[in-house]
Amino acid sequence: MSKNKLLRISVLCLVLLLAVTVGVQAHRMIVEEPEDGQVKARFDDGSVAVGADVSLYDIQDELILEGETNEDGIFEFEAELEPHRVVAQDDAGHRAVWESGAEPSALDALPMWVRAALGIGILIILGALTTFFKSGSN
Amino acid sequence: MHISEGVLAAPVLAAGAAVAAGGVAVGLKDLDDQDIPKTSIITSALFIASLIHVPLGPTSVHLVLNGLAGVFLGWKVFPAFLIAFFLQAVLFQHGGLTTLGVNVSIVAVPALICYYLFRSVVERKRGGLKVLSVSSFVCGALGVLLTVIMLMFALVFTQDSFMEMANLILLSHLPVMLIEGVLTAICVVFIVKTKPEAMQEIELSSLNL
Repeated sequence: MSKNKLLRISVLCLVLLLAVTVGVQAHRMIVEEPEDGQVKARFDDGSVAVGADVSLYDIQDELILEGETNEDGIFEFEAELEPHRVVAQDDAGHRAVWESGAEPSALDALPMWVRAALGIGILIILGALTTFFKSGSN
Repeated sequence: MHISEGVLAAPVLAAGAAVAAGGVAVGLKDLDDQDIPKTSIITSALFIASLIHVPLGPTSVHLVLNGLAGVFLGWKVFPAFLIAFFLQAVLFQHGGLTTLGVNVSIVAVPALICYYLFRSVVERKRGGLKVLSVSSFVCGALGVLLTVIMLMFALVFTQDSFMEMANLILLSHLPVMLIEGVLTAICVVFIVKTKPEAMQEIELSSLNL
């Protein structure tokens, strides 16, 4: 098989992989903003974090309540508690924090496929640079 | 298969970083000009793999592809995973920067074990397509299994309910092991038949294809 053919197949596989993944999200835990005595822990692929440990902290960063999310990923507490920071953690090593007034990351505003394409672009540039410097040093 | 920031104890983070740094150093030393396109393509696949999720009841698990990457890259799997996980941490907030070393180690060490296992079976055992496909299937599945075991060891120091966690993680990754086994077998057989030069580190001449 010629180099060009292999390259074409590789690019086609990557494009197909990207096409398959558009709209599908990575596995990152998110704690939503607490509302009416409820806070929800979920993953960014849309699934909920069942049985995750949830800790509520006040403005002095002192623990005010602890518990677990139910089968809908929701942890309920008394509405007058008004937590300043909420931490959720599951048994598989996922952890997420919500903090009152924290600015969301600028990257979060970009759709997932744009971020994935950006990553692939960085990898292509990195591959090209490595080839350039390796061939230069030889 | 990504541990978030703030979950692990400092000694575990330091041990993971040391193993990853050693592996990356050996991997980069091992990297030749002709390995760069192959390494870049596999790094891209590793970077994208975590976006492909397998729905499982109320939750989901994602592909790891470490067995597949290990068979093709050998020691170069360490720099490949380092770059892929760094980009995932920055672009998707998937995992974290302080846990990068541990996350790389728990996937790259099993990948390396798969590489040596695959190499020893394929180079020593005379056989055909059956040996090649079965050994690559085993490597694909074993990569995930060993990663799950390493993940549990990393978490055991900070989790109270070890057995509960072990059952949860192991059971949820059984479908991933099966999928990755099949995927690895298909990819390895395809590459060995069409472009055997891509696996120049492994002596394929004893195979009767």
